[in-house]
Amino acid sequence: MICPKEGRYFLQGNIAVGEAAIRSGAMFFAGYPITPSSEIAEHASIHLPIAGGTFIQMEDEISSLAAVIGASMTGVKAYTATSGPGMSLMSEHIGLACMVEAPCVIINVQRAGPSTGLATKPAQGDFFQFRYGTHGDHMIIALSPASVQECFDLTIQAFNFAERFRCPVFLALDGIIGKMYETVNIPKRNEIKVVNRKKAIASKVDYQPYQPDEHLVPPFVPFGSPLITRANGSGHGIDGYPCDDAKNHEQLVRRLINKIDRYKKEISLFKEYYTHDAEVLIVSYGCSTRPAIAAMKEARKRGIKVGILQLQTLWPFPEELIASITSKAKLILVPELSLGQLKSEIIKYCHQKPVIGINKLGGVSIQPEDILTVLFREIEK
Amino acid sequence: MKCSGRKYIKTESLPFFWCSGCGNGIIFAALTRAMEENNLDNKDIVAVTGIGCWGKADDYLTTHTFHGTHGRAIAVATGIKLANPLLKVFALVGDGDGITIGGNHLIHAARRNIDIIVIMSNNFNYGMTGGQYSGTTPFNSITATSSYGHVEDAFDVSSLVKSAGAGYVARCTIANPHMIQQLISKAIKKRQGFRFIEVISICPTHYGKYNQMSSAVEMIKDLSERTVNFKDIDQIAPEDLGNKIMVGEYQNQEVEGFVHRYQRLKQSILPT
Amino acid sequence: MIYSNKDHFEMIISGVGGQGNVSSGIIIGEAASCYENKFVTMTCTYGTEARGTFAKSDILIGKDFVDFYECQSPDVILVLHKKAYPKIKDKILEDTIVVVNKNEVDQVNMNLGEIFSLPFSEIAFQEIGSKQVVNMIALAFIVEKTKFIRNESLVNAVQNKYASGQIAELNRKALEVGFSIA
Repeated sequence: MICPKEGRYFLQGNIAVGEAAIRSGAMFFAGYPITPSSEIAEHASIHLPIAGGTFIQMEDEISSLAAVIGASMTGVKAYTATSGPGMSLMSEHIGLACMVEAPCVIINVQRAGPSTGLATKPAQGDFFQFRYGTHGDHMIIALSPASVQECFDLTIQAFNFAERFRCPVFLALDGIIGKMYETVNIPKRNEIKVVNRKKAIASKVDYQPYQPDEHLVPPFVPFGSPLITRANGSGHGIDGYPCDDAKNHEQLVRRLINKIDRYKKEISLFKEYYTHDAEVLIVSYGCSTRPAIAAMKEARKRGIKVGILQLQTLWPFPEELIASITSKAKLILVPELSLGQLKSEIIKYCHQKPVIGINKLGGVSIQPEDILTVLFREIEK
Repeated sequence: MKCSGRKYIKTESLPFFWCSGCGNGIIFAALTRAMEENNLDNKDIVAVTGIGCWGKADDYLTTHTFHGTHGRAIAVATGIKLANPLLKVFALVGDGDGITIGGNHLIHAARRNIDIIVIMSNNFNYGMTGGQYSGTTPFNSITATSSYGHVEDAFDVSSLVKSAGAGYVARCTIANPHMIQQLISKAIKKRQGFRFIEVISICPTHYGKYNQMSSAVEMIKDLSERTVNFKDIDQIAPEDLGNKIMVGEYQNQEVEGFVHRYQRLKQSILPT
Repeated sequence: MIYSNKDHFEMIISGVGGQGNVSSGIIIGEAASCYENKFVTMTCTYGTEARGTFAKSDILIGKDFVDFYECQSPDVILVLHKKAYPKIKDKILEDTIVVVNKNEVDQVNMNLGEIFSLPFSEIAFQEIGSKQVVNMIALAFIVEKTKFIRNESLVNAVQNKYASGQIAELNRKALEVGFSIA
């Protein structure tokens, strides 16, 4: 590993993700090179074989996620990394991972779209693609770091959620945070909390691959186990055999959603800055959090009570958190490197308070001045 | 060797969902017999399927199974094999699955010599969706989407997979079930590298009906008559070869599979 | 011009792709993060091509977490190529130290910032016999001049990066030269 021991390092965000993945116990990576995420694949190609794992560069992103899901069903922690165009190709298998309940981590270092867009430039335009990228009703988890330290911490968390809920988990980086270098504290191995998927009891005679436990998650049996297991991307009964019965399908899809939805509060990670007395609330995630913090400090110097809610969990969307935290605010600002995707979600839950987007395209960062300009203009009104 | 293949068959799910006269039952029986012939343990087998008629094969298996997406069985199988090299991984794909939508995965898995066995049931059309043309539909033939005759040429899949670098490539037809079993068995015994068996099959319901051959008996007879083994190729005039189906081993080479190569790589970089 | 007590320090390294802007930034980042317990953020801008187009690294050093990752009032700007100067010119403030490689940058507005124009390429070639170490000489020059990090932190970071061999020796010498000309 690049960081063999605990301590202080100066790392790129993408590399911090890779270092955390290996510490989470990840043993398999399949991916396809794409800017600005390629360092994650390169890191895996160097460090996974040393750790006893396997790296393979597949022929495209479709097969990359397919291989990750296959690997996961053997009981191995698996991950892939991509950017928008690759995410689009992976869409098919996001649904497969949900349906077969394969724990895996998908890292998307967002760049400016649509299509090839600006290949080397950052964006935050895939907010809804994380949630609705694949067809059919489903629920996923998406986490988003705003610093290199959070890249490390949230990667660990992403693997843990994937294992706990048996579902794909997105790590929503952006080209700024993924490519940025920053001081990181790498904790001791034994101080990192690592979750492993719950296994079915090996002697169970009446084992059913999709029989959920009390948390709605089916205990896992790996391929190769004496208990024979089945993974099925088609509508299936608890035995894993295909089933197109209406009631069964309703139960299955609702369970896939509820197993995550029920624990939304635990999954919902966030940071607050001066929200206790904030009259103006900035809601942000990822790179946009950084100019927001600078803007907040400047505004507070001038006596304007600004606070920040930084969402680390984007999906499932923290509706109740937004509803409660915005109840005291008079004005809500949402800076993002897109034309208002997060904003449109916040509007749904913020009691008709004014919500102003600070939106930027072109692959350049939002500046603290961009936020301050809007802030001063709005409080003048 | 006389085998029934029963221990791999979920008998309570029988009869097969496939149409009467479909070739898939013959391939399925040959596959399970070959598994038994080689004493494979159910727990060591993972059968990966895609979508299509042959993609339903996993419904009748008592091994580990993965029923995934259309065209991606080989990609899923790649992940399974590399993450647990002890498993015997079979990808059961059709011509739509294996060479049309999933053709890229097929040739790359062959090039890499991923240590899996792929059994392709090639019936020249998309049976499950109503008989549309696929990448192996012959020129001029009629399908649900080529009512005036197909304008494209077909892939010679076995030749393609051979040239992509697979260690073992063989073709046979459902007219000779024993040969299917033999070839699969040989593929299992080879233990490593990419092993590809193309089984020429029939779809009386769609392809046969569209092309004036609606009885399975008639279609199997036609397959038999057109089949030529590589060994006998010298006895046929070159001008008569066009309509023939070549069977036998297209490729049988000792290759080092991906798993072994990667393990050697890991050994070589281990810190001393 | 002594920055050792400053809570917040900003530096831009600018040039064209292939000149080692990123690796120079990493050296500074490691020196300040690992040997001085400071917090460092670096973001890099460059074109699609790996070489030849404008490239810059923004390096921000704080006692604690650095909020925003782009330089807003740079304390130092290093200019390694003439293509870079027009692009960073607007960022120069009255008290910004502008360190220029005279051999690569011909036209500089002497009224903008506090200019130090030195023939780093020539020095590298004459003193070390290699133009590979231009950056290292310039970095050492800046560190000695401003003291925004300690000299030995820079030496340690370089040593840590190139454990031994010819490249390590070249870089070690380059730092010495850089310190001495400041």
